[in-house]
Amino acid sequence: MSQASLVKAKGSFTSVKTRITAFIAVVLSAAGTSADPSPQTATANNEQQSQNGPAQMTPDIQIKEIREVSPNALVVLEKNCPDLVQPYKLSDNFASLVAFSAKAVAKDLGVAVLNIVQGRPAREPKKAELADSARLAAKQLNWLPMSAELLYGEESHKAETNILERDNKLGKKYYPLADQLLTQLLSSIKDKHEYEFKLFILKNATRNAVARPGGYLYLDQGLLDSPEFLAKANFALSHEIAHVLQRHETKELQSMIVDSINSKDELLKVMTKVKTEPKVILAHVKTGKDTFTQHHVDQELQSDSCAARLLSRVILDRRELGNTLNAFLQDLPAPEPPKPRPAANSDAEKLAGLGHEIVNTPLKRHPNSAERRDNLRKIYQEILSAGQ
Amino acid sequence: MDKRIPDWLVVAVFSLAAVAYAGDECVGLSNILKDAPRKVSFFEIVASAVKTDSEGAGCSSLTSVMDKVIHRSRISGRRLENEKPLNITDAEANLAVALRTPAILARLEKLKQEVPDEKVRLYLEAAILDEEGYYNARELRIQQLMEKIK
Repeated sequence: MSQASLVKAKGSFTSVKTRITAFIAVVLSAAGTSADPSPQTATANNEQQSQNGPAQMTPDIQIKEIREVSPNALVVLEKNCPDLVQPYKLSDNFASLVAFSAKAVAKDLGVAVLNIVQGRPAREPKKAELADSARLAAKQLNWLPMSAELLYGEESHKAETNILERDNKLGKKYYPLADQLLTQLLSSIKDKHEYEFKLFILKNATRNAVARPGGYLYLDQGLLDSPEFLAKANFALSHEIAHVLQRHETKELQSMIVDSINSKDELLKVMTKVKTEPKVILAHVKTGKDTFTQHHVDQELQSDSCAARLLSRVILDRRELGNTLNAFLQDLPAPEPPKPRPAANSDAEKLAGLGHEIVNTPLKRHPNSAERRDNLRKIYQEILSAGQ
Repeated sequence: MDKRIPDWLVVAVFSLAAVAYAGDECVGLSNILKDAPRKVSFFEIVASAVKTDSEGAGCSSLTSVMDKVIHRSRISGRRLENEKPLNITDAEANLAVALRTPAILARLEKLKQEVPDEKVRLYLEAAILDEEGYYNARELRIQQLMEKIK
């Protein structure tokens, strides 16, 4: 072994010890936070943390406070975006999970002590209950390693051929403006993250934007070629940064796998029934599809919320912030009236209707204009009332 | 003899050329146009776009248009909103603006004189409009090309 590698190996050993000590300290400190914060307080606390940098953070470990759990992985539990950055390292995820379990134990112990004090029979927390809640909590975390996410993003980026080159006539005109928007937004993110954002302009006259895993961001040139649309460009970029920091693409991918494995037994039951009741399998497929679609919609709404919070750090004048959000809302299509559906008279018609709906409704849809407007109004009010 | 190019060949050549572009082998729009007068077939013109050893100006535009023609669309990633369909009125207005620019008009006129095949011309026109930043007009030309090769 060379001297250099020996030094490196010794260094790693000391570093591992230090890291374990720091890890335990951080986890214990996270578990020691208030056992049952109300959602309002949790949100406010978290915003405070985000403004000043996360409180429960060492140079190596960042803990996400898990406030809610769900039986499904394909669910967005915090649409109002209390945390701009999701844990991105295995150690972060593990620490978050340990902190959650420790908090659950502490809460159960607290209830037990209170019961004894008040003369009620104490109930011991069951191990199975704890394991179940930790399992559910694990579903809300993204365990995909960052290296895998970067690979996924790179591959996906390679397929994009509509990119404006930086060194041509139009590239020289529009990239400085796009870069300036990105720099301004990123400078307001104090939370630790490992993303190296890469911004590209797409040769489109439209005013859309795209994010891919690993930090790839794309803005349509149509957002940049007129000052009229700069406010929307700012919102669009914030929304796409949020998709990356929330790790939406990889979380969706992981959640689909997690949920499909979990429902194995249920699938078996459904398969045994399918011969006699074909409607059962269609209903099952529809439920699965609806869950996925809702998840996708909610992730979009969550990114809108994160975009508003991110912009609120850059645009301090609240009226101007409102105008920026409106610039996005006003460019959305007018709400479509709901299509009337003919009533089904027989089981056969119901079955046909179900099949038609499964095939003809998109799996991945965006929230409609009304959903986006209502969500942004709510977040804007939250920002105003928090005095941020 | 009917000198029209069969549609299956158009699609096949577009696809082959698209594969070749992936290896940075494009010679560029200006070189294709420079050689255009002596070109007699669509295949030769498109094939010239995938030769090696060239400066490569305009390759990005040729590639972008080719990708759109063969529907290698962008399906991955998270979009801010749903894609909107092409507004033909806007696209025609965008083309009119492009045609009022003397340099662009000259390039398109040159194409009209030197490239007899309408499909090839539409393809190259779309690439020129892409290069000049008239994207709605480019989409219009691509849509017209797609109708021709249906």
